[in-house]
Amino acid sequence: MANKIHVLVQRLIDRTEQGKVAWEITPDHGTYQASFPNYSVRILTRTQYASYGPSTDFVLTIHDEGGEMVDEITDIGLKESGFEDAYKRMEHLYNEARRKAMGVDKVIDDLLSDLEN
Amino acid sequence: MNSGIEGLASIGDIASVLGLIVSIAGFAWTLIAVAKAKQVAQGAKEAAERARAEILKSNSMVELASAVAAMEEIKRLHRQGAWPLLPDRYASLREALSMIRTMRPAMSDEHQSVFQGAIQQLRSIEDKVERALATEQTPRNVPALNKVISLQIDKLTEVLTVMRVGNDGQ
Repeated sequence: MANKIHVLVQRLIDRTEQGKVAWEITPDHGTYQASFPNYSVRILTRTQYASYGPSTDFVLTIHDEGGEMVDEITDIGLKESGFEDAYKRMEHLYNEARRKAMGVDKVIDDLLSDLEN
Repeated sequence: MNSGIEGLASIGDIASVLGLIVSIAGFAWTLIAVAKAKQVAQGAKEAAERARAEILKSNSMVELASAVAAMEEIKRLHRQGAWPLLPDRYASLREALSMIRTMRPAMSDEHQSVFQGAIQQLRSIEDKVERALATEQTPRNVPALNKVISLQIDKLTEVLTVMRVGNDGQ
C-alpha cells in the first residue's frame, strides 16, 4: 500500500511539472484542488505547534466521486513509510499546485512580454 | 394404353419438378423476406436508440443549463447571507451534476473531471457552511466562495457549449 501511495505522489508531481494536472483554487485559503474523472485530490498546509515551535506539514487528501475524503497523506507519513525527501517533494508539489492554480506562470509570461515591448 | 400411362407419368414428373422449383423459389423468397424484416427491425432499433440518445443529450443539456442557473442563484444567496437555505441548494446541485454525469457515460475524461471538480468544490462549500451554521456563525469570506462558484460556472458553461455543438463524442 505504501508503495502505491509513493507512486501516486510521484506521478502527481511528474504530471504537475508537465502541466498535465489542472490545479484550481478552493474556498479554503492555501488549499488547491485537482480533479480526475472520478476522484479529486487536494493539497494544503497544516501548522503543528510543538515544544520547539510551529512547523508546517504538507497534506494531500483524496476524495471520492461524491466529494467524501477517503484518504489523507502527509509528508510525515510518507517519510515514515520510506519515501525519500518526503518534505521537500511534498513542498515542491504544493508550490507547483499553487503556481498552476493562481496562474503565476501566465502572469510572469505576460509581464515579461509587457516589459519587452 | 402404355403411351397414355407414360404420358401421365411424365406430366407427374414435370409437376414434381415444377413443385420443387416453386418450393425452392418460395423458400428463397421467405429467406429474403425474413432478411428484409430483420433489416427493418434493426433499422428501427437503431433509430429508437438514436432517438433515445438524442433525448438524453437534450435532457442533459437542459439539466446542465439549469445547474448553471442554480449556481448563479447560490452566488446571490451568498451575497444576501441566506445561509440556512443554502445546504439544501448545494446538495441538490451536487445531485443534479451527478445525474448529468450518469446520463452521458461517453463524456470525455476532461469533461468528467470538470463535473468531479464542481461536485468536490460544492461539497467543500457545503461543509464550510454547515460547520458555520452548527456554531451559529456565518461564513466569512463570501467573495472567495463566489469566486470558486464562478470558476465552476465558467468550466461547466464551456462543457455545455461543446455539448451544444455536438463535439463531445456523444
